[in-house]
Amino acid sequence: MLIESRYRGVMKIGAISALVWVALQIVGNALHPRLPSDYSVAMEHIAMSEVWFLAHVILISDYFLLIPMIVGFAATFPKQPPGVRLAVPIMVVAVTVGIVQVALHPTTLSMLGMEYAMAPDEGTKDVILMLYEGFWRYNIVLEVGHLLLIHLVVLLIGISMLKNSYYPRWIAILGVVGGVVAAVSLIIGEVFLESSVLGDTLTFGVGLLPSAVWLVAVGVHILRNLPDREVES
Amino acid sequence: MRDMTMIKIGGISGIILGVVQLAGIVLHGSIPPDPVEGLTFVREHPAWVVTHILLILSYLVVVGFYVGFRASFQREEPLLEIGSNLTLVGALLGAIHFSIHLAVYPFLASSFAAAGGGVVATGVETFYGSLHHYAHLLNRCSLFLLMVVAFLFAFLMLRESSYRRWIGYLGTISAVVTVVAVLIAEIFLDRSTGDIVFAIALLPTIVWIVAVGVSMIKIARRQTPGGVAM
Repeated sequence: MLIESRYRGVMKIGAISALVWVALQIVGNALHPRLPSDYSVAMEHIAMSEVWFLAHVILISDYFLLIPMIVGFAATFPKQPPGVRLAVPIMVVAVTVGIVQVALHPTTLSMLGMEYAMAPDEGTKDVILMLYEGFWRYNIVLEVGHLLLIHLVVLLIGISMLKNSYYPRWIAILGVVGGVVAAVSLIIGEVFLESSVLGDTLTFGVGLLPSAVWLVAVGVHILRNLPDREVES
Repeated sequence: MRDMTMIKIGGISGIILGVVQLAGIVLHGSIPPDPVEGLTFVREHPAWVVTHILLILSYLVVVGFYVGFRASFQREEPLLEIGSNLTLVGALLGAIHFSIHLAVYPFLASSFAAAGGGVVATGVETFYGSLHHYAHLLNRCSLFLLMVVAFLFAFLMLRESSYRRWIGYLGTISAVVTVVAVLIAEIFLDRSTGDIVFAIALLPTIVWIVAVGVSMIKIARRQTPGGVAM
């Protein structure tokens, strides 16, 4: 089934958003210091980090791109199968929760880290530590929740691609595998390994790799296979 | 075939949105950047709850406005799908930001006053300070997304014969002006001055929203049976 010319623009925006998203994720996660499990040491890491703010500005900006990306991907399905129809609103929820979560880092967590470093006595340090732990638990729930939704979107689009002749079969299979691998890595890394350095490496390093390759593959494929330009009558 | 009821709902939502946002900005005022002064400001605010309920509701009206606005387009523009979904994210972030103000700040303000100093007061002050930065960032993310949406819709309405061109130009220019003004305020100005700059910069966008709302009601009237013929 042919994709109409009028979707050319939105497909192009979606493909470029996917490529930029992957690039920014790599830069943002590379800059983001891995935090130790000990909350007081983690706060010191945050207070001393010179790239904490920059890393999170990049990571928050990255979330804005997920909406044009998913809308662009959805435009490549002329019949809009159920998986695609579900994927778009799920991504809206994931992006919102994702921004709500990442926004904690350059603001609340950063400020608590600095206050902790400057605290005049042990009593004040204990209060700040308690606040940090409370916010951190909230942060983890939001993080696991929205990342699972994003991986579900990858899985849904991958499954839908299997029946769409526009995409080569290997891209569809990579999407399905990427979504499952990322979700399993996330659960092991964040729930069982409790966001330790090893857990974060698994979640944001190994686990995201197949999905990142899939996003680049989809982005490049769309850019190479855009419908013809619309002819103005 | 355009859905005239939806367009009318969008038009009414636009007018309500413009009025409520303007009233909300005036009623809310600028929270002092110093945490102790900020907590005092919240405690002494004469209409904190009402103002925030109005502001949170205005984000629900944003959704009605853009759904109706989209329905008013004669050409089906795929780019509006991006705009519509960004609207939801922007509206939710804005509502969450004001929910933090509504739910947590008054509690912290009264807790701070009751503590009367010591470690508890310091803890409340730190809690409030860290939360206020967070809420502020959510607000700016919401604003940025909603300005991208405003720009997109205003740009695409330039292709629509139903709307006057000046409204399209006003929307595109005001969205860019707001984003630039907020960026300058965030980077170069202190929070109090920045809030004033933000309020002034938002005014042209509010005028645009109301102008679009009025136009949508006119479109719906022209097309409804019994209305004035085109």
